[in-house]
Amino acid sequence: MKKISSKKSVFTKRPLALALVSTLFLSSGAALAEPMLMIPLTNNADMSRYDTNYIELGGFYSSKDAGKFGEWTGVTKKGTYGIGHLNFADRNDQTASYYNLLGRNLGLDSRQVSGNFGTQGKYGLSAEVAQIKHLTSDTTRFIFEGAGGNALTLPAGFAGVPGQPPASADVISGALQPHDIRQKRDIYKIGGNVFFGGTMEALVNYRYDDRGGTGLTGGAMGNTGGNPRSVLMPLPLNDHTQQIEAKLRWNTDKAQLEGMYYFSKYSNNVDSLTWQNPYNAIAGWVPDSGFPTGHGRMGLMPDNLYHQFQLSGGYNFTPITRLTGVASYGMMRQNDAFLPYAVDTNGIAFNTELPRKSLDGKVDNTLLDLKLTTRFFDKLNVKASYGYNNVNNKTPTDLYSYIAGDTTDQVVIPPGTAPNDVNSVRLRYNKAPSRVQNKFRLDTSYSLAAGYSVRGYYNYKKTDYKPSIDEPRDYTEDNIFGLELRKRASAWATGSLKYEYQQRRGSDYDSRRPYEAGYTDGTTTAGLFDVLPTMRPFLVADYDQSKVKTMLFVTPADALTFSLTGDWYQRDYKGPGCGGPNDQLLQPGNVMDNRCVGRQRGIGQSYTIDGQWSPLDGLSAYAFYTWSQFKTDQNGRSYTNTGPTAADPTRDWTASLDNRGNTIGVGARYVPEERNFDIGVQYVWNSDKSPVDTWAGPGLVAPTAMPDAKYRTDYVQLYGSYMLNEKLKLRFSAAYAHLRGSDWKYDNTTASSTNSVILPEQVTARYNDYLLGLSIAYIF
Amino acid sequence: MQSFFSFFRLFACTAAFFALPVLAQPVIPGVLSSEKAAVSAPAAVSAPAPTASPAEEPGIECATCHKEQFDNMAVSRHGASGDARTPWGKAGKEGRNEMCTACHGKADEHMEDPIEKKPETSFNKKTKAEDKNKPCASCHVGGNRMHWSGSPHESSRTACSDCHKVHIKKDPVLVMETQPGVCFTCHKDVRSHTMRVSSHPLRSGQMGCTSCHQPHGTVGDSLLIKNTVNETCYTCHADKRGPFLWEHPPARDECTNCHQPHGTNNAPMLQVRTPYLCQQCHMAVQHPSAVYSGNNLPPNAAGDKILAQGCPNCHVKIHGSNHPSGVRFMR
Repeated sequence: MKKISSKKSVFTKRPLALALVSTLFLSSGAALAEPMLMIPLTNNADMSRYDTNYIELGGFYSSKDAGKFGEWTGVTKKGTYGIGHLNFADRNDQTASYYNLLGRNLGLDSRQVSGNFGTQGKYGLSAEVAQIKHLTSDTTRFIFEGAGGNALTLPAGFAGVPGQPPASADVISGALQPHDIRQKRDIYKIGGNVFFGGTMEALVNYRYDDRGGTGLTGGAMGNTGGNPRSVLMPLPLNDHTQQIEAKLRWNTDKAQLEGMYYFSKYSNNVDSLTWQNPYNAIAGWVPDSGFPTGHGRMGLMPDNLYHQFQLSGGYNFTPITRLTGVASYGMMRQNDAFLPYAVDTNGIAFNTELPRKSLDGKVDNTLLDLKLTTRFFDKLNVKASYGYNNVNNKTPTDLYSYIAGDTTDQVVIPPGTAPNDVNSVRLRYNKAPSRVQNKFRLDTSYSLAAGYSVRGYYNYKKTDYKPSIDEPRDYTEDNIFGLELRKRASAWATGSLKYEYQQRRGSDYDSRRPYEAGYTDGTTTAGLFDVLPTMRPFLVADYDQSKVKTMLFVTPADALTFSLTGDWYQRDYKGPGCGGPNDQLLQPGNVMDNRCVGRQRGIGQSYTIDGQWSPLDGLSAYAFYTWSQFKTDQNGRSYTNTGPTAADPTRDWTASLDNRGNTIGVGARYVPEERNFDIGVQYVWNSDKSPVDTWAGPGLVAPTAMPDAKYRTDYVQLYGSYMLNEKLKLRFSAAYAHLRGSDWKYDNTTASSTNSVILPEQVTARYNDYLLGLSIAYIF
Repeated sequence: MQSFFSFFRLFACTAAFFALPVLAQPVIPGVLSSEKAAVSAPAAVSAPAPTASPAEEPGIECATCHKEQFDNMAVSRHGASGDARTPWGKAGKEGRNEMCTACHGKADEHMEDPIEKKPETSFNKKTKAEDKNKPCASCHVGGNRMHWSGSPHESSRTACSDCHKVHIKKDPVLVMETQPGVCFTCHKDVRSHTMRVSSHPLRSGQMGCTSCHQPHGTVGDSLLIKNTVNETCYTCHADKRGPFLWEHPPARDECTNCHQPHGTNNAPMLQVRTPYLCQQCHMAVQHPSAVYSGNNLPPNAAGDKILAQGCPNCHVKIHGSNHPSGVRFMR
């Protein structure tokens, strides 16, 4: 292969002309080139695609429809695909000028062209255009017309669903129309930097993301109280995001400073999605909200804006003592006009105006971080840091008289009565959660003899929830202690063993607070509650956690490297204690016991054995195996009223959610010296299983076993290249990709499988695909 | 076909961008790359002898034995003699370019006895990470490296050369598709996670580890490119930023409360399957507190809270709602 640096000028027109011609050819839909469908999984990648000037054209054939296999690349259907790759680069050592143009997967739906040019130490400009397609599902079917738009209608002749889909299977199935859930994202980036003198640098980067397509959403009509009905439907996506990052840097050996301004603006071209209600009106709905006159309308993501100012700096007091710091102030803003409480065509009685026309949402984020690092006696490294983060939500709070899913009349506030005194769960205050975190870290390490070192660290974090009246706790405190023993590489081995203990505690837990902050006084005094008082959400619950991490790299011979790594942790949630006075919000005579509900335990572990072997010059091989698990255990209590059943321990239940994965990778590559070919093979096997085990007390219907959700993938690829002459390189690739899945989320479901949700008939992803590709690279 | 036209438009923009330097500077006069090519071209292609005097450029002497490394360095950023900041451009003590010695230090003894004596700084496994990092840190101290000191990678004694390769023409860790292979050398659990059925497009090369992480040190816990988890996620998912009228506290707190961004078996990259994930915080009267099991699967018709998206079959605006009636995230 010829080197990137040729005798030609860096800025001759020829490569650009070739790039233009080749890309136009590819853009016209020609079928070309080998795909890059799987990244290298180890650190021995073939870099010739990036360090050689070439244009590669070819084609490959996919034998089967395989939506999941090509979910991010666009190789989703049986057929021929064209791909081109190109790389042009040159640099001049005397002027330090350079340019680089890289094109990847140009014939696929997901592709990228990027490049840059400039003069090192003086200026640089860069640009990138990327298109990313994502297929979420190509098996979905919906009852609506107008998929992708902001108004979904039912087909002519559709008869309403009388509340219970199983009884209306014919009505639903006759209306179903296929619509793939897929999104596209076009990304444009441009940036530049310029140096001033020897110490100053200014950088500006701009990024524009344009997103389109459809997602999956659900349109619910009705609300709590046993009357909601929903239908899954395509969600229109049509938005764009602009980001600008401007930096000014000043660097000297002694001190460094960087000022940054970051701007991000999200703009949604669709403010809402309206759909025709397929359900006939049922008890609790105003009559016109049912089929055929009824509609639902949901708000889509509102436009928002973010500004951030940041100053970072570093100062070397001595060669071994350094202070670094960051001060940042960010402002999130959102002020999109509110939609009305409900559509005005359902015959709903509106009784209360909106308290404001838009939210005027404001969240300011202040961050300060200081870190000092130094060394004593040449062996003791000490690092101390302090961090402060204030998330200050300045969004105004008001009372909203919400309408349940476009189907109910708005609550009537009697004349002369303060809204806060009205007893109605449909009167709600919005909340503006804020918090302040203070963090302190101390980290020391000491170098012992024979390459050993020992490290100990302590982290403290206190989180104050403000205003605390919205939160069940005033504050939580996390303490982390860690100890690590590390052996630096000897001639053949290096390794480390780390143990960490983490504990969270905090102030008293008052389960009434979030409820009282969100509802009117008239409602809370009625003795209801929103969440079982003995719930301890894992976000703020106490816990103890132990963590062990170990790593061992062994090199018994120059050609052979083994590694063993292991991570394990267990987190036990500890409450705080349940059943106290703050948990007793029930009707008289019913006492909550001390059994907490919510997440009780989390276990995560991962173990890998990995080997790399280079028995001959030009021959390298690798193999690895990883076993991993993430498991949580949780408690629940099934209750149907806020009195006797809520306090009934015979209605307790537990669930254990497990995720276990096995991954095997094997690969080899032979690049013989002085020969004109290379060949490689890689195989990846992944098997995941997610069992769910449930138990319930005698007061409940006994749960039955869930089938394990299982996915198994195989991917094997044989690839290689042959130099036809100095300029032409032939590449080939043959691959087999296989996925076998079974998932109770989708298996055996039809659109009318459930009582109150019309499903999209999504099928568990499976594929069995052969791919064969041939391409030729012109090297220059 | 529309996408091809759209891509054509994209390419036209890019082509125009790259045409700028060509039009502005069609051909840089004089020989630009030839001197370097004389050193860098492999012997099999063309290899005029080095033209510089060894006495003037000490690196040339190194090329006698370390030709491949030297050649590759010569065509890299570090080999740009026109940039005074590089080893090739730096003026050494005697006014010479430092070249190899800029990083490897003095090598006089090594050249006299190449087998037994090593240069002042060797980048082998026996050398301490901090010693290996010194030459790099002597130049790369500001910008993205400003917070290296005290960072998790520095604390775990990671050397720059553990991830970066400067003696090859293209450093794999700086290329998006090959970067994960480098990071997987240590982060093997993440390699396994990316093979899960629901993951970011890392496996197919549309994202790299540095799309989210800044491995040289940041103020956050997980070496993210922004100060917090959410700020990092919002760089691509700005629609989730809000603020919203009805906030969902775990979403406002940290996206990873519910999501595992490296990949899981539970679409969309959820830590735990719905409805159980939701029930780890929500235990309200009636259906939110019910126990879900095989009883809720077909042919039984009670799967509305468990099949497909689970709770978000109805509570779709789970990242926050700005609809006045969206208090339960259904609008």
